[in-house]
Amino acid sequence: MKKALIIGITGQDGSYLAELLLDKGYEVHGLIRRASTFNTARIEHLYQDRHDGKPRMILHYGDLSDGSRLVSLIAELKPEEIYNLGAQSHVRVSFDEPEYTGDITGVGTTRVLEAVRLVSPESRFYQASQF
Amino acid sequence: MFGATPPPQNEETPFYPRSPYGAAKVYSYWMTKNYREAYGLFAVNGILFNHESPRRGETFVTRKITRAAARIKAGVQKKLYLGNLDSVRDWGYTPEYVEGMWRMLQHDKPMDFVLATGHAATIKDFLTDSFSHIGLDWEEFVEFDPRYLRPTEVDALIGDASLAERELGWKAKTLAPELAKIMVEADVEAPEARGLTLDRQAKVSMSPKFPLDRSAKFYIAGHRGMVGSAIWREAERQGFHQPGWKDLQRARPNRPQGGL
Repeated sequence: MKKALIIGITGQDGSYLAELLLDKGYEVHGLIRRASTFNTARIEHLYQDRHDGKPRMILHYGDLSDGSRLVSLIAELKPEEIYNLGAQSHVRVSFDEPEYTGDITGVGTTRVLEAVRLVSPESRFYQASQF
Repeated sequence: MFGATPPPQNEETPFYPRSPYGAAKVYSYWMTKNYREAYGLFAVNGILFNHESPRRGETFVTRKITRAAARIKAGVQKKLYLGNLDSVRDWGYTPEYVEGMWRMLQHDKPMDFVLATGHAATIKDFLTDSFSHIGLDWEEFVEFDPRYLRPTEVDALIGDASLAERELGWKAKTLAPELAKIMVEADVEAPEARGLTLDRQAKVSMSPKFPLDRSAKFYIAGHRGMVGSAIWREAERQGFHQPGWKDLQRARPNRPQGGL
């Protein structure tokens, strides 16, 4: 069974991608940020697997600002596929938070790439470059 | 990333980001390419044009529009304030785009791909398609608010996905007019549009003559509605728990908002 890691699984794209991969029989791992407020509304319905058997969607806490966590997680999972859909995605907000946006949406990608290079170079990596 | 370059845009189009967000995405694009070339990683860039769905964030214009239409219809909202109604965009349907992402990683070699419909639509078109689908005339409800104009507006973003079609067999099927219908229908069904927020939930009381045996089974047709959901809550409160309850709640996995 193939393993996929979705960074940004709680977003619009991440939630549909999780469904697609579960339908294709993958074991789907997602990175979510620890928050005291509920942030998994779009994937709530996936907690209960639609097919019989043990749940194939597993969530892990992490953040694109934390490179060592990405290394430890990717080393543990060694997923066949990694989808980096995570970002601070609001254009207007990026004018108010340019440094944070650069750190997460920009350097965050570097952190994932480094983790792959160091501990899981056979993983296939998808970067959400957007238009 | 393509901000100020004229359409149609494809994989060879030079970038011209118009925001710190765009600049960060351009950086990520080049880092991905660099790691592919320097280390031989199977690393690809998906250059996706706007893709929408009922799960789109509420501050994004398409969802803002369909949500407003549903709430206006339900009588819980009066007006919709927008900026430039003549903006031109290439809008696709997210489930098709994530399938494209997956196809990129199944390909025999790492390549960068644009995913887009190649069709242009304006905000006015989207307003017409969504509002008229539920019997409303958007011109009665939409007002202009200059605060929504962007400092660096992008005139037109239309993508050319012919490389993805050739190499991956990927083609967008759902275009903006149908997308508008899908989204407005989902928003009309959402509890929020019917005023079913937590502080406005209906309450029912059950007669003492109602079966007291907590293993009794009963079926609620319309469990998501105002009365049905109130019965559900009261039953649960009174201790009628069944293994089947949660399954029913999750019976429609494609709904953006699970449960009540």
